[in-house]
Amino acid sequence: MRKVASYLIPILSLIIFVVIMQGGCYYITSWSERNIIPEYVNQVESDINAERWDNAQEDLHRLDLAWKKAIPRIQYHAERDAIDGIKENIARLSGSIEAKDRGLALAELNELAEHWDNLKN
Amino acid sequence: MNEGIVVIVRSIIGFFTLLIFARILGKQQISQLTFFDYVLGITIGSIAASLSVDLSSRAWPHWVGLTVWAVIVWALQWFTLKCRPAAKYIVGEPTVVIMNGQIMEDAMRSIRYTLGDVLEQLRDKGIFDLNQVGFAVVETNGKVSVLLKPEFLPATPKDLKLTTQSSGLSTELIYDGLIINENLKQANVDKLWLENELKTKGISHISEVFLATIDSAGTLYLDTYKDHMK
Repeated sequence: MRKVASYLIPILSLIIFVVIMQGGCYYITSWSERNIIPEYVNQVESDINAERWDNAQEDLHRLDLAWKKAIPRIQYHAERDAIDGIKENIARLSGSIEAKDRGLALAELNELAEHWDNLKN
Repeated sequence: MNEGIVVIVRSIIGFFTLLIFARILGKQQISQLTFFDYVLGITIGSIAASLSVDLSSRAWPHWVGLTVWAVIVWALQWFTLKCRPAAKYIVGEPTVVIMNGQIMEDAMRSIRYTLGDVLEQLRDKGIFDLNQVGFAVVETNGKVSVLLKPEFLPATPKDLKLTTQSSGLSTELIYDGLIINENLKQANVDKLWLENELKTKGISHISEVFLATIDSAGTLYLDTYKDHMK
């Protein structure tokens, strides 16, 4: 029993470590209802394309809340720069929606989507 | 992102991963490490440090790097154990630098060892006269092993035709005021005997004893918390 435990404890520990480090990757790639960030990105994009600026600001606010909820789940997986990058994209996106600048808003949104995709790696 | 919590979690992962890998890689002491082992240790430690505090990159690549280095070290250890020629190639061979009292200059040059290095290591072993040295060998870990000429070797009880008794290994019976019951059985003694022995030495309770050991001849060594130093 003792010998089994001496093998089992390190193996289980290593498995737990891998799950902690790669759990965020599963969250990002999963299709569960909790993973609503890509959905909000699409909504904001269609709002901007249709120049519905008030709706875009509301959807961006929802996206911001969803992102803040997602951070604790992915913070052990993602690097700080990627997390900060998305945070900055949201801030700049908010400004460009307020200024009703379609080009800048779409550029920020695409960069945000790219950052989100990079988190999967 | 709560950086403090992330660093705590990553440090725990790094620490225990390193502990597990170090246990797998064996019990080589620092003094037995070759230069390559030493560099490997530093590299693996450095990767673990990055895994712990470098938040600008993900933990996973560091952990994979740590695992790969540990696996390669383990594979090399296994390979050198199974294949002697490979061991000679990877770990190297001991080099004789003094043979029958003669300094082997070419051998020293091939391992980039100076006479000063050899003399320093000899002095470290208490040998100040080269005339006393029969053989000196530079081991793979860089240390020098010395065999003195027969006339300078210390006399042993066998040389003096004296009979000796093996004292064997001693067993701990009490440590930090607590009896180690497993060792009592192993030493074929019981608690009552131990308490009587303590009483004869003027010790009323086991909690007064810091360490008690017994050797194979049944001699008890006692050390109490009260040190009567004058």
